[in-house]
Amino acid sequence: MDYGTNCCMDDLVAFAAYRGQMDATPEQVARRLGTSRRRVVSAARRLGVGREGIAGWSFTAEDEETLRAELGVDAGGPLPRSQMRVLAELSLRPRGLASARAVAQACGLAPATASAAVKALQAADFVVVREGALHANVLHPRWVELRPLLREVRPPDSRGTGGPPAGDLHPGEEAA
Amino acid sequence: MDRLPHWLRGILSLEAAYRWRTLAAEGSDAVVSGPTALAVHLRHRVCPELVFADRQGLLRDPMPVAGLAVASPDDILVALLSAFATDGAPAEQLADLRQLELRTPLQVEEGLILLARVRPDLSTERVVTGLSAAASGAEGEVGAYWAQRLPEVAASMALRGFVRRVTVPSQRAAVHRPALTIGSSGQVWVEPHERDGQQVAGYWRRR
Repeated sequence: MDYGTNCCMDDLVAFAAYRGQMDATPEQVARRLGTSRRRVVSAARRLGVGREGIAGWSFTAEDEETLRAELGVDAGGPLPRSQMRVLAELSLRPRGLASARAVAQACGLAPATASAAVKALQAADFVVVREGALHANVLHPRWVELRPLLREVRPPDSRGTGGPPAGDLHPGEEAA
Repeated sequence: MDRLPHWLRGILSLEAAYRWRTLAAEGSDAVVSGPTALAVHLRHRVCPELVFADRQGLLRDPMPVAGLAVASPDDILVALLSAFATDGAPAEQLADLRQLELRTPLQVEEGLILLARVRPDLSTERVVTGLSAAASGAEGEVGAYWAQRLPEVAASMALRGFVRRVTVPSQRAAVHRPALTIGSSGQVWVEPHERDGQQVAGYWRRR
């Protein structure tokens, strides 16, 4: 393919994507992280990443990784985001988690959000209490359907390092 | 005897393939499990022998392949992990376990939960200790992988606290990702169902 002066815009975009050098838009980053454009731009301003030009914001791969570490990844799915995060974390805890507060800390959620999510998951039989700890019910009939989505979920890396996490999920912000 | 599919012949030794065909022709109800079943699911290496499991203790329904039932990945993971609790598991099992984590959404931590449901008598700590002992003798990319991965597994055993997981890349399975940028308003989740005799996976659609 000729990338000389006569090449069209599509060719340039294809070439840039091929070389992995094309910057992502806030919408693309938001889609990949499973969040909103507003949260992405807000985090970008706070962290000082990304580039704001005439055409709007753009993010390199490094910027996107920084945003991923800050905001985490939510995969979407049939359950609200906070419940997906709780299930994803409990599915990786062989001994379960001691309490809703421990769930909040492990998942990077506000305590009230984590508590509401645990209650909803218990009502749906996705979470069970065994030996005094909260466990994921990995034998739930819908577990196999949820598992690939749960593995995409990543809590923000800043969680657990102390201090109130930014950009937290609150009960009113849960996905439908 | 029917011929085995080309891809199945590619992952079985001559003797194992012949035995498979024989058992399938006899209508055997044996369930292929362990490393053989994993190779059937992942097609990542050649298996010199067939390993079977008891149908009674299975967590999920086995999948029929070329006349024989093959255990689900969940049951394979439980079988692989239980081998580390009993005695020295072969080095191939460590490599198999790595492939299972990299190619499927299953992870050792979830396998330990499943193992506790199937074999409550088996100590989870003993499995992790066996895994660590086997990993200490592993070399190359398998050894390097488990050197990074085992601290995450050990940290996951705690009842509270944040665990930073970086070793296993996020799974990018062929699942439909709804446009969360605009929220899920206007879209509804359709449960997996059967249509015209065919299984249809769950998906999002507009109202």
